Amino acid sequence: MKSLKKILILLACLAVIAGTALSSGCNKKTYAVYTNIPQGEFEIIDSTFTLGGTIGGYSPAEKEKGEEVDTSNYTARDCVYPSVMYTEAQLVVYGDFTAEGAEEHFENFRKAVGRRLTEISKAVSSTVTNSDIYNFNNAAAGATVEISQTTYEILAEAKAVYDFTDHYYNPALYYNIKAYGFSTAEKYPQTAAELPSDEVVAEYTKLASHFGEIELSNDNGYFVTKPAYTVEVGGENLTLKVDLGGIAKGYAVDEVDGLFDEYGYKFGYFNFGASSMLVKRHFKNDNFNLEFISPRSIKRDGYLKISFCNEKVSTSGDNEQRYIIDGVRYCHVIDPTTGKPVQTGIMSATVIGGSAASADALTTAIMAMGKDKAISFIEEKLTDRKVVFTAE
Amino acid sequence: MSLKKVEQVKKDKGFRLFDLIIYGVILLLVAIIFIVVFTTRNTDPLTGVKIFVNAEEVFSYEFGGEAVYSESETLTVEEDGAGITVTVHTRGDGLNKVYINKSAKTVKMTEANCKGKECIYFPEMSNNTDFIYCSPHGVKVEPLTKNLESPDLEIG
Repeated sequence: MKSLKKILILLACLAVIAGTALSSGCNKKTYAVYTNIPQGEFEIIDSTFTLGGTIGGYSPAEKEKGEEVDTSNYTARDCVYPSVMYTEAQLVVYGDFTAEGAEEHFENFRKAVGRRLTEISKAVSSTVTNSDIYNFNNAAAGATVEISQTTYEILAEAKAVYDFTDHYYNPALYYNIKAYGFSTAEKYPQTAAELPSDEVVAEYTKLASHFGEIELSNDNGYFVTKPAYTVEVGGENLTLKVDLGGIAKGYAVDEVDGLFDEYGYKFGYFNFGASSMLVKRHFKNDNFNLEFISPRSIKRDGYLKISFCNEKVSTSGDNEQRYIIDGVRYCHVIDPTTGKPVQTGIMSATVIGGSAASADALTTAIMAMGKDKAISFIEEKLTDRKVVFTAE
Repeated sequence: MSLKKVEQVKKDKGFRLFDLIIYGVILLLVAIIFIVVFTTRNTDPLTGVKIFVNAEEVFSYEFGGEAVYSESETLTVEEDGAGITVTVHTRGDGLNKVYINKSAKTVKMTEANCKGKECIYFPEMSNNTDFIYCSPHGVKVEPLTKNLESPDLEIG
């Protein structure tokens, strides 16, 4: 009788433990991962993320295998570039630094990267007086502005992605970004009353929709002509302005890739603010293991792991630069169809492959598309790139 | 003990063995968890810290060395023999206070006015795998050293 009593107590305890575990599991919010990467090439490492669906159409071009190199003497050298486009960039190179002139060669490379980053940063800054973008933004409607080759190339890429994504990437949402407090000079709104009105947002969005009308020319120099369209907000006539923050870091990664080639480095990586990255070869096993940070983890835990080399990768997420008012999350990625911070349910998007500049802009576009549109877009148009997005 | 009681205990002997198995399994589980946690943990002690605001490095300190930072309105550094208090002012009147204990070689977020204040409850940093992150203010405290030869990278 006593034994039976003990067994019943034990069973009751186990039932309580199992019930608690089950109920906590039920209350745990889960997120979906959508990707076109073949299964087996990636691993979901966070139990709160489950594979929502695989996306078809991925058919990459065959990659050449890197040549065999004796890396037994290789060690690492790095350089951190603080405060480039309001973030930090890190350059890491693996090489044989016992060889004569190797240290000096790296020193020259490091400086060349720094110079290029500064050039790009200055060209696209909307706050540095007399930068290309500052001049463009402050020019009159319809005016033609002379710009550097760097800005010309970034704007050309921006226009190409704008068309390629059916305008889901739009760098002309300048006033929307500012109105929601995501410009460097602005403070985040604290209450709903501080958010911009729907009418004002609609005017800003209408202006941004004319981005396709900017004209670029490279006849005896580099020039950009501003659209003639203007809107009136609060008695002020506003002309189109651009914010290239969503593409310039990727462009910088592409430029650093070019410098790796120019200086003959095949091993290493360049990490631009953990949002755009050049991943060359690792000196021990070629592949790097890239962990995608969960957009919902306070401790920045990873949710997905993938190994690869010799690719460029960019990501966007609603976890960086964001605030919550009345339970609504407002992040720095603006939906060009509404003019407001994205509310599509997509939390993050990552693109591996192709140019980092386009990948950078594509991730923004995917976040604005929403799940269904993003899936069909990836299936039809991004067949040569690996894409991952997460949704609530 | 009465004879009746002794008889009863004798009858229960089989179940005592069952009890022992349960206790044994629990002890084994505890031992496994203990071994996994403490053998897989990188116990290299903390050699210093870096503080980032929105991924921009604003402060670094190596134990035994000098604190490196630029004087600005967003950063206040108060130092005495025992430790360093770094106060970071972020956008929207955000505030985070980080205390570096020089002798214990530990770092702790002691104060923050963010919503939720999760960063204050991060464990005190004492080895080179620990970190503290204040997501609303974009303030991150990381160990000074990074293993440049590691093939492990993070994005996002």
